[in-house]
Amino acid sequence: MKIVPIFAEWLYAIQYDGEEENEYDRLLDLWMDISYLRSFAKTADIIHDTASFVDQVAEDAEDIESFMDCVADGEIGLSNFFKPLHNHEIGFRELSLQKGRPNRKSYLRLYAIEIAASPPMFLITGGAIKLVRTMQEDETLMKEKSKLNAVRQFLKENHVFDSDSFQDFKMEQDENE
Amino acid sequence: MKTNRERFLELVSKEPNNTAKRNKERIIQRAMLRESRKIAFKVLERLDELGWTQKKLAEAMEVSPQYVSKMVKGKENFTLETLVKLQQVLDIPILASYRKDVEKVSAEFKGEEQTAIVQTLGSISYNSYVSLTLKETIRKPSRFLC
Repeated sequence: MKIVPIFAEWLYAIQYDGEEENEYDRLLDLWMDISYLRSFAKTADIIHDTASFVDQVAEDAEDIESFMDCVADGEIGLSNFFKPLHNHEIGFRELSLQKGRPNRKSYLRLYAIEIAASPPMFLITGGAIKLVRTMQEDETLMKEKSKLNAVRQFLKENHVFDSDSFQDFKMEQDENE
Repeated sequence: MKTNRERFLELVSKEPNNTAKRNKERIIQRAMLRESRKIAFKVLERLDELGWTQKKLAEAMEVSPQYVSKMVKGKENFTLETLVKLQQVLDIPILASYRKDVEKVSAEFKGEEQTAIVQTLGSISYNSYVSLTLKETIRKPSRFLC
């Protein structure tokens, strides 16, 4: 796998072996592919209005594009987009797993790992259309969870997180106070 | 002593990346891409109605199956010639959807809100229209516009 810098120094994405594009480009392309979205909607039992679903997903993907464009221009921070995957997570976070969505009603999720909190720095590992409440309910979402964990493990093996990290965290906290 | 940030950056590819540029280009082309998506959806619905495959459409239009596959993704910047051919072959209205969109907006918004939209639309230049797009200006006046 390859780590690609996609938006200034804030946001990075994984490009998996065998893929032509990094995960951000791949997903944005997919989420605006009408042929794919229409087929997806027709195989999902809970979607009753294919046209509205396709329209909504593409619009939400546009919102992600607009948001990231603001990030690239340095006019908005990524911490407004990504939130911890596990809602109860507080305090010191060790390569925290994150989810990002353009709005509360959106089906779209970008999954990422928080590399640094301040200034925020994230690494996108993948994403999905989430129609169910928990990731455990869907095979595709479980695959995304596995990708998150695999990338996190890769980072740890490459010493992106080690015993010095807590010190980094403390230093960043002190600088911000 | 290296920080997490520095250790992470050592793993990052040094190859140039054009994601931000592509992202910006899609935003600039947003109005066109939205129309392209609407056409793609209409075409796919019609193919189902007729029981046609994409290959059959390619043959009827005398284009390659690869081109039809690209068309139905909703990312194609169609030529007028292609659109005319498409609506003739499939016998569906594809052109002249602009008026329908404006009427839909008028029905969705009433009173002062509608007046504000009309004023906004009247005051924006073509270039800003292209970058903001009709729908974004109307439906999402402030979200993610930085």
